[in-house]
Amino acid sequence: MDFQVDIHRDGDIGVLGVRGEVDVYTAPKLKAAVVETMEGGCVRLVVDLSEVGFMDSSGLGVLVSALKRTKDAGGALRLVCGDERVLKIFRITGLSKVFAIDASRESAMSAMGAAS
Amino acid sequence: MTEAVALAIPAAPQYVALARLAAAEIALKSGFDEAAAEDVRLAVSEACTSILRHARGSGGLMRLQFRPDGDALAVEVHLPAERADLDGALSDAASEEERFGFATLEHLADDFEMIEAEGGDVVVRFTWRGLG
Repeated sequence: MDFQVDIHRDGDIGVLGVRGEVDVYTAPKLKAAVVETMEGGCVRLVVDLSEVGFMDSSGLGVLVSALKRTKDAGGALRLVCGDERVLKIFRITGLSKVFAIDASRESAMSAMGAAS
Repeated sequence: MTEAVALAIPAAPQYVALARLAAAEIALKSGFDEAAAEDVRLAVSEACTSILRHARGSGGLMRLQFRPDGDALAVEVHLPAERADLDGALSDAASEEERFGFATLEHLADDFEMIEAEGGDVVVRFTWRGLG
């Protein structure tokens, strides 16, 4: 599956739907999507990893930096992921305690306090 | 699969996915179950990525070796000396990402090391024991 990030806005929340495998080759594209969304005025982000079949430390690096950027800007970041294979690396690195991870995009949006 | 397998792929980010595919397939063929093969896939991705963090310029190949031995599997990834950029100790993870990568390899594999081999090649090696 080709790597792709679909960006859309739901009120002031930027929603990034990520598809494919996040690794050393594709992580810069995810980073660019985060930067683009934040520069477009969103400091609250939901990064949906439901369609991600694989992620390694390259992806973690981008997400940790996105978490810091959103917090520094007074916003927040939530992840959507229900795939054990992808959740495993969050647990191994201790990052499952650092990120807010929801099983569905709906839960993430409602936890973020979306108006819709 | 009980024979050793060697693979040479361009030392560039877009080929790490190919190394992952091969790693998972070799693990399955060596008798690993799907969860263990998934671990091998992740570890090989981290190993190739760690190697590429210490590469300079472009071109050249990185070499992967998979050696099944009973219910163990030994993996080595080599970056040739002419592509290596050895600033500081290899085992000192410089960036946060690299620390995550090393933590993942240390967790998944029974032993893991990243060294400068004789001749200046950068080598990542790790083993699984008692699986398969």
